[in-house]
Amino acid sequence: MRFLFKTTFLFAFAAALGSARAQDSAQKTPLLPERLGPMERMLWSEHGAMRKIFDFPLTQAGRERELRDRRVMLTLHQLGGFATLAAMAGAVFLGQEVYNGQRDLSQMHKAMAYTTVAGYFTTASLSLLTPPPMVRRGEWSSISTHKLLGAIHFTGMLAMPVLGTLVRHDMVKYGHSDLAPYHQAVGYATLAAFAAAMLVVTF
Amino acid sequence: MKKRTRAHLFLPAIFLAFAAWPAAAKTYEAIQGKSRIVYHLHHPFHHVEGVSREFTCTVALDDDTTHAAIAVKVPVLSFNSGNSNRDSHALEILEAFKYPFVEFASDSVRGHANAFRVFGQLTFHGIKRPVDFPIAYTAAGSLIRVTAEFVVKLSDFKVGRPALLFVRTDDDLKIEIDVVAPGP
Repeated sequence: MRFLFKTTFLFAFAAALGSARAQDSAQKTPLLPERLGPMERMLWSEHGAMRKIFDFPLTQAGRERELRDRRVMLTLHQLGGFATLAAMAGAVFLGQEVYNGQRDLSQMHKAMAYTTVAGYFTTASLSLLTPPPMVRRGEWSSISTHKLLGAIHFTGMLAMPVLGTLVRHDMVKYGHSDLAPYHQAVGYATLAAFAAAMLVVTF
Repeated sequence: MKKRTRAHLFLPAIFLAFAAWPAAAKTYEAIQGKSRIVYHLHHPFHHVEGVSREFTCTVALDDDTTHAAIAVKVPVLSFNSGNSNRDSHALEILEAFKYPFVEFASDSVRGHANAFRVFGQLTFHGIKRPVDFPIAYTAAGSLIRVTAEFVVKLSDFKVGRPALLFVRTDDDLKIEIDVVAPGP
């Protein structure tokens, strides 16, 4: 009888323990989010380039290290964002002065524009190359707006150096440029989109 | 042969004893989806609310609090603040791979009627600390509802305060528990 009781008790206890472990196992934290962006899939998915070419194994320890790197990269992305915004505002201000006739400021405008381009693409790469987060759902959030505005200022930043070079070429050759107002408009639009992208993150 | 027959007769009694044991404590299981745990975190730029509806909660409660107990287990991954980037940041800080759950287990429940105070241990970020908070208990139709609200300090659990644009959140984390369970 005692044996029967012990057996029954052990069976019940083991079943309860097994059920709890099964639940824990089912809720085990996944290493990667279900949704990955195109760049993340290329670099950080199970068979991504970082896994195949470099020493970034898809393990718990590996992902913990990646998440620490991600935080550092995103913090630098924020810092780079502030620095780039300052440089971009300076370049736009100086560009407006040159446009208004202060030609002696053109070299300073050019230097500030180069600084902006360097800061911008460094800051952008810190975000684009960052390892994926732990979770990503499909909701629309302030980060989605930040990325949408990112697409606008990224396009602007691709156009600006080309337009600037063309305007400079025309100015040297003909003393004026029909493209100058477009360069000016794209500059303001890029600055506005960039500042807005930073502002929306705070909401 | 005779002994075996007798043992066979005792089997239903043993199973009845097992079935009656938890029933004596009036144990209720939270209904997932209807129950929720919410955290509130204040940042100078905005207020953050994260909700979990996927947790287990067992409540054993009665007017006689001698056998009363509450146990809660929440996967940190289940909290949704409406911004997965922010949630991911929180999971990084909480080291979700190492500490995937927040757990509470009561030591004692004191009080009477519909107002009780729970004393227990909160395990958060792998650190166990005593907490106590009032709970309200109501029965409506075929359901019972247990609600509670308390504040913990992130620093008490060695959780770094998340930062946005280099500005950190407050140290206080308010937790609201709203458990709906099938009644007796």
